[in-house]
Amino acid sequence: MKRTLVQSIMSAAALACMTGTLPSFAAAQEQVKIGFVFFLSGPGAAYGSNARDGAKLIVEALNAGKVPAPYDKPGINGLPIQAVFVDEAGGAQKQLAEYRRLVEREQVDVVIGYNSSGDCNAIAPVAEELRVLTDFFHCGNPQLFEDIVTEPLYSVRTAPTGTMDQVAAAKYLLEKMPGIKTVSGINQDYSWGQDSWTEFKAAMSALKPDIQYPAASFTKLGTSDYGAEISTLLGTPSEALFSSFWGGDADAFALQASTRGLDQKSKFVLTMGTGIIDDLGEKAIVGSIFGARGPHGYFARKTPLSAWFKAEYGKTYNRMPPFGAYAAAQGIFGIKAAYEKAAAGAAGRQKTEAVIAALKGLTFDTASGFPATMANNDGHQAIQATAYGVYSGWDKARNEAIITEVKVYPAECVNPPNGVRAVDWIKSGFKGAKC
Amino acid sequence: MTRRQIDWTIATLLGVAIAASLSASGVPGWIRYLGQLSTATALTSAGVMILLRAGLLSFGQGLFYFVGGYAVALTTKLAAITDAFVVLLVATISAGLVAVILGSFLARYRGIFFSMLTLAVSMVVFGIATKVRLFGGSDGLNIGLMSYAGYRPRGADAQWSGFVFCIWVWAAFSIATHILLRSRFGWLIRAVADNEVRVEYLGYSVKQIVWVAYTLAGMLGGAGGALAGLSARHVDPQFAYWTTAGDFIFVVLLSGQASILSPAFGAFLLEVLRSYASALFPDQWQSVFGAMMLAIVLFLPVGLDRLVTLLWSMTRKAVSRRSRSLAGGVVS
Amino acid sequence: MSTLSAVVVDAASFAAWLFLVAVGLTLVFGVLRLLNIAHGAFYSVGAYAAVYAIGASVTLGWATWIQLVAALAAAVAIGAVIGLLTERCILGRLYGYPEPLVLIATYALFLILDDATKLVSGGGSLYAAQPRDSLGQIGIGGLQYPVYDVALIGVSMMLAAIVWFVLNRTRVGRCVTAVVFDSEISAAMGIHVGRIKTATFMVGAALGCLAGALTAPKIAVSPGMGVEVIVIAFAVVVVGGLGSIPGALLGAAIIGLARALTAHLLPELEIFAVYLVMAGVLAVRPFGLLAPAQARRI
Repeated sequence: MKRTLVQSIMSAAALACMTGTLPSFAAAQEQVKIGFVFFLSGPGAAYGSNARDGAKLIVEALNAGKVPAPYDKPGINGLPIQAVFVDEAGGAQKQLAEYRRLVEREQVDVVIGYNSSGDCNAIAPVAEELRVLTDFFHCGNPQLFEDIVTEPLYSVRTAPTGTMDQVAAAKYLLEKMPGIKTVSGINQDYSWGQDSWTEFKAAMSALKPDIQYPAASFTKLGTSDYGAEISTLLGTPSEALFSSFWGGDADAFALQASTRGLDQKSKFVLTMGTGIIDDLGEKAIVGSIFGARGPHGYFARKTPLSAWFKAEYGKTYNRMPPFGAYAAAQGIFGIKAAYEKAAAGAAGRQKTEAVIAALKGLTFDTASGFPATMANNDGHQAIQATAYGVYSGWDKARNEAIITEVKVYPAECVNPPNGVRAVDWIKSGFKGAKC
Repeated sequence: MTRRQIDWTIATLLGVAIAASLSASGVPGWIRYLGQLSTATALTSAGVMILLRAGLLSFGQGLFYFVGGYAVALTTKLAAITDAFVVLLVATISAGLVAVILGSFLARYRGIFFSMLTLAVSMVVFGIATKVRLFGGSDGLNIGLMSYAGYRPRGADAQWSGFVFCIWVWAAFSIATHILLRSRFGWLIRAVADNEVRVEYLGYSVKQIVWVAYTLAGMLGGAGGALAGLSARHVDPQFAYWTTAGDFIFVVLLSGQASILSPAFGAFLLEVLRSYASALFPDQWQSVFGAMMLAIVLFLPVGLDRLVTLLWSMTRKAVSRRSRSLAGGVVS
Repeated sequence: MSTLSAVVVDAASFAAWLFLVAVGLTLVFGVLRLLNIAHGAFYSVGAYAAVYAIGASVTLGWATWIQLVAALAAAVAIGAVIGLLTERCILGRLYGYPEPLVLIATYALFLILDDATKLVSGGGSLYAAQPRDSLGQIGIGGLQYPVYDVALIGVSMMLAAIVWFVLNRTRVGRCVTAVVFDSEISAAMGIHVGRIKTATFMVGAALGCLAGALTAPKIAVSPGMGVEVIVIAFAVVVVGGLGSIPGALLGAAIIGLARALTAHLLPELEIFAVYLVMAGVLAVRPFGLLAPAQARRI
């Protein structure tokens, strides 16, 4: 009894110490502090850890002034960047607490992050309230600016919405298989998967009204065994199979589907497909249509900036940069470009409002070589070109995938025009698209 | 001396609520938010505590948290009611109704089967919620700003008044629950855990006691979910996921079950621990959090409230000894 | 017709996997009376061990069966060691504590182990598909199935038979059964109850790791894979009756069938098929289908 009491007091004292000795990060005046929120644990880590690697690399290179033009100015507007990383795992409620901590305790100037559309929806109203420039760097739901924050002031998104991926996938598939009659889908049973399938179906039907959708499977996030779904898809094979799987689910499905020959019966269309190539290497499904949630990685256009990024990433992490890393780089570059435009040559820190005003409508260079333009939703939503291609084997000499039949779709071709809802735009038959 | 005994629990609750309201404007917003979340977690965990006193471990408390949160989201969305008092009432009543219905069937179960069944029901609801458009799918729903009986705070005031609202709702529900637990019914709950057959021989229906306790837990969960929803201004199906219920159980085990104050203390500690674990170890916060949990279970299995109770009884003894000696001095 | 055979094969294959995952859990519950949430973490630790073992054997150019043996041996060894440490250092100190407290201890352990796998492997996914690929395909009812997946059904049945045999036909097994029924009387009869408990937990942990190792060639081994597994394993065990090995087999069969049926016929319901079955069974038979009868305490 006595022993437990002593132990109790000791452990309570230990707890008190932990809460007492907090590192207090005094915000130095002459720097730009960025909070990065990526998935660092759980299934999302497959993606978020790449984003973190990319962000870390860019921040270090920017601080050292090693990034090529147009981002050759050290740091952001000459001010060193201080990065704070936070794990996005744990649900929206935890993220709201973390966001407030970043803003009010760490006093970050900018927050870049959030991959889950649920987190984006929850954070955006608070970002508006706390008046902090927040770049929802890669969640894809158009609803963020269509329904949740309809008049964004402080919320921006430097990545295009998922609409682009679905529309371009549909167009690419029809170009490859003009006579196609049936498409099935397998997607994850949460917003990303459900919305992707809905948008893709709408885009297909808009392009080719007589198309049939024999099967639509939805699986739980983190499913490991796809045996039953693969049997279903094999039982009534469609000419093509659409999937927005990402991370471990995408890899597991690709492995299981290819051993059972599903890829022989249906042409795979994988909007997040290059993630599978990054993970599985040469085991990725030959002949399938791959996208990268943007013109990233294998689709990148060669510019000094994109070549530098690919080389530097390869040197540091010994691999091709995954698309998560491109998205994180794009977020930082967008903010940097706007910050320096707002400064207009003057040194020192800039007001958040001035940075946002500079970001509106801005076109900035990205690590993928295709510039992004903040064109939609009052200049808060980026559009960008995207690309699809076919994986046709492994280049052993360069230790890279061979992607052929690459087709680039210009930004105005696959993104809705400003002020038009994504679904309405698709249903209208892509009115106003410039292809 | 026939001086009326002060109920120290109620006094402490009121004291904390008054102190928190007075200091509300001086505290940074992120701590206020942690405080708000703690009140939500505290009420919901109090439900777990009540059931645990009856010997029942509910892995489905997240269900009521979910019902409460979504009741707020849907009343504001569909009926355009933004009054915090009204939506709180709606949330508590709907959670209570769900609990009455489920309780009629769950009250028969004991032990691990009760845990598993509550888990199953809650997971079915989670599955449905990720599918239903009305519920916003897995993204959940956003909730607008609240008004309080006609007062419509905006901007910085909104968060401040939300905090005060949460604190007083927590205090009011806690006092009500405390009074109920102090009553004969409260003692019957404990008796169920001790020996059901004896309770039956005393002329009470065990099933009814469990049913009422379950309903009470459900209402507290609903109120907690409502507070969570209007603090975060966002609800999602994760509310009903089993790990959310795991948090509530953790709170009760962390703090102990001595009084209605225990879960509040545990909830605040949980939020602070989690916040610091993820601030200091963004990559490894889970294992740090797990290690702390393990340390508490191993070294302080009765819960942290035991420390407080011990200190309390020690000071009481010291005080009463002194007053006795003083009184004795007067007599002699 | 082909749907029927597909449902049967998919159900059997999924049920086999469910049994693998659940058998260690139910064994541990039977003997130690604790619901081990850390079982999910054992599963992922086993999967990681298998990935590294298979990776190493492939680099060394070993044959497929040696790759598999290496993977299983590595997983079982790690499982046994972790099981021993856990039982001795943590759970052993908690016997006699209230059930929920022990449950939380295993939950804490789950969080720690889950993070530890991430520390070792980094955030990304790992693969060990070589043995599965090299075993080839088999056609059943017009559909192709990997031999590996079909063989898992056999492995799972074999494991069930072994566990049943050890428990019912050997001296050690009878001692374990005695401890399950009454640990005090067993101790009085000269059975070393502590040792039985430690050994059972080690076997349970090793079985958890084994399940992970056998699954690893089919999937992407990635952080957080244990969370889903543990709830499904709970469902299997509860449906069949806690602590009952034949129950786990039956539970696995029912849930496997439910999932295969919904995947083929009602894909909308698939996400909660498992929980609907669980709620349904418990509503009719609260203690699970094959649970031993329990006396009501007075």
